[in-house]
Amino acid sequence: MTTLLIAEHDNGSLKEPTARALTAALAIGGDVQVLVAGKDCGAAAAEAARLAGVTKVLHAESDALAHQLAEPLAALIVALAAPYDAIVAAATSTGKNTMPRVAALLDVMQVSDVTGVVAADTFERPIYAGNAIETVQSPEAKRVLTVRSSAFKAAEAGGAAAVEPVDAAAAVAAGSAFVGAEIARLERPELTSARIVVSGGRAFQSAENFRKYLEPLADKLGAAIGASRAAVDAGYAPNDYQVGQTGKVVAPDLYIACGISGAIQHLAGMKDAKVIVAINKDPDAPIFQVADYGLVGDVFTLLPEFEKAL
Amino acid sequence: MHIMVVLRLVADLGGDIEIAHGGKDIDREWVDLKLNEFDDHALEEAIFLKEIVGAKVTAIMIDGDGVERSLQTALARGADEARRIAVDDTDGPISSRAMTPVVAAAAAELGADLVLTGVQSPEDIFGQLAPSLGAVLGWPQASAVSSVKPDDGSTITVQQEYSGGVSAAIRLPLPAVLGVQTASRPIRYVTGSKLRQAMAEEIPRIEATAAVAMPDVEIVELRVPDEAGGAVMLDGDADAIADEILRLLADRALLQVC
Ligand SMILES: Cc1cc2nc3c(=O)[nH]c(=O)nc-3n(C[C@H](O)[C@H](O)[C@H](O)COP(=O)(O)OP(=O)(O)OC[C@H]3O[C@@H](n4cnc5c(N)ncnc54)[C@H](O)[C@@H]3O)c2cc1C
Repeated sequence: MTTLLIAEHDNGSLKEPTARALTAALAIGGDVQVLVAGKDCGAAAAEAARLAGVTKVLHAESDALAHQLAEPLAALIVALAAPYDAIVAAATSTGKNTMPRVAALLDVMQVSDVTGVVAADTFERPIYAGNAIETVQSPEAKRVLTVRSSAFKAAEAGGAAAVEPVDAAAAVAAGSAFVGAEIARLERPELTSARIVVSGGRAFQSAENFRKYLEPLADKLGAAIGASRAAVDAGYAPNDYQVGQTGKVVAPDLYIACGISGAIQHLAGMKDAKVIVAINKDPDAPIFQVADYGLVGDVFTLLPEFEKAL
Repeated sequence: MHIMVVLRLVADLGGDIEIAHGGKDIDREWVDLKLNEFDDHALEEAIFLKEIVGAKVTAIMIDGDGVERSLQTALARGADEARRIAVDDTDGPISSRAMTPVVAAAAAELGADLVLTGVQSPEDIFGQLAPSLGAVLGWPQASAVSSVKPDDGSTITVQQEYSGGVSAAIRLPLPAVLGVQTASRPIRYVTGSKLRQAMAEEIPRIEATAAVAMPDVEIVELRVPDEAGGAVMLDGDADAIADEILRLLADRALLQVC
């Protein structure tokens, strides 16, 4: 059995979900080869070759692959698919854009958002916005899987696989063109990969308060900042801070929820955090049901004291 | 431009999930249906495009309970036409991936050159519909789109969101498929009188011209994850609590106080 793992990278280096998806790919059993497809992505391919457990790295170079747009990348994966029993990618934006296209082109059902590998053909995944877990068996001869990377530990470095160039002629740009990226410059860790997330809710009452009370704490802890949808909708925090069913799914080592009630849609985005600390003035707030540690009190007095005490 | 919007009704579960007897599906007996939130954004974006460039908007749904009403609402919101598509032999709801061939055939028949749908649904968290439609139709596609700008009539430029605060502008030639995350403007609600007017309209029902894709993934089990036991409440002064939390972080080798 051989699995092809699709690497996510920015040409210069691998993105963290790749090493996590590798752990899932290894759990399926058999050989795991990694496809690094991009433009001037030799460094990312070399990095993939150093991940423990990888048997071979396929390195595809093409102008059409520079931004990993869905059409050329899917076409390349389909062209390479023949020898593999499973094709795996992290369930990131790129994976989400590309893999269903691959599955449809191969005419197989994709198993999405895998959070557990039960057997080579049996997987667990969340459904109903994360409120239930489904175990599914895929009898396909070729399986297309996407992996929720936060559910798996990152594979370690320590491998020395060969990097083999592959023909990227199949990756023809189907017409979509990358016009430009707008990157919000991040001074703090990215929300989805941060080990600590400090998150704020409606309790903050204004964008000024949100920043004034959460930023110092986040800075001290080297944490990313998240928000509830109520805080985002009210304009206290930008859109991409939102954690939850319709926002980001995070699984940090520590999640500090400040003035967040704990609606099911919010929990869907953070309940896999290893340790959850909740601060809320209402002792009956539902967030305390999922939190490991709870503090009843006012965020406006507790947070500054807490930050000082750290 | 002829925009086809694909709408889906999804189970309105709130927080409570009851697993049906047999352990493979939710108990649908008392579950209400509602329009998938992201599909609502896709509809809004279509109407927005219609207003700025004069597109024709056709809303479609796979026929079933509550569908006529949802399509009437779509007409009241500004869609020009609506169709319910009848598929036979369906046992329960059709997954987003399974409906792909049916929806793709409808897009071809209606002569749509832009298909909009929601980026995901509660039953399809991953968002397979737009990318698989793109593959079946052989059209380019983009998911997680937050705004659509028509260019000269033969291309559109969309804002596609990635994680970590990154978004990119992508230009796609028409015809194309988009999975919409948020519309360019807030969703507008319709007035009662418009709605009453639309309720009188009969929504044409057309037969599907393609078969639904057979699910070849078998559900072995559906379960609700274990409830956590509840928090250990910390009290004492801020210093004591801060110490306690610091200890927790240290225990887990998480301490990186800057
Ligand atoms: C389809 C759908 C999708 C959704 N997706 C998401 C999602 O992705 N993410 C998300 O977060 N929500 C989502 N929601 C919204 C969700 O249902 C809640 O409305 C939202 O999470 C509430 O945010 P909140 O906890 O900040 O606000 P509230 O529920 O208003 O809670 C505020 C909390 O702060 C406490 N508080 C107030 N003042 C203080 C103070 N001074 N000190 C300490 N505590 C204080 C209160 O006791 C209360 O518990 C979604 C809803 C729907 C219908």
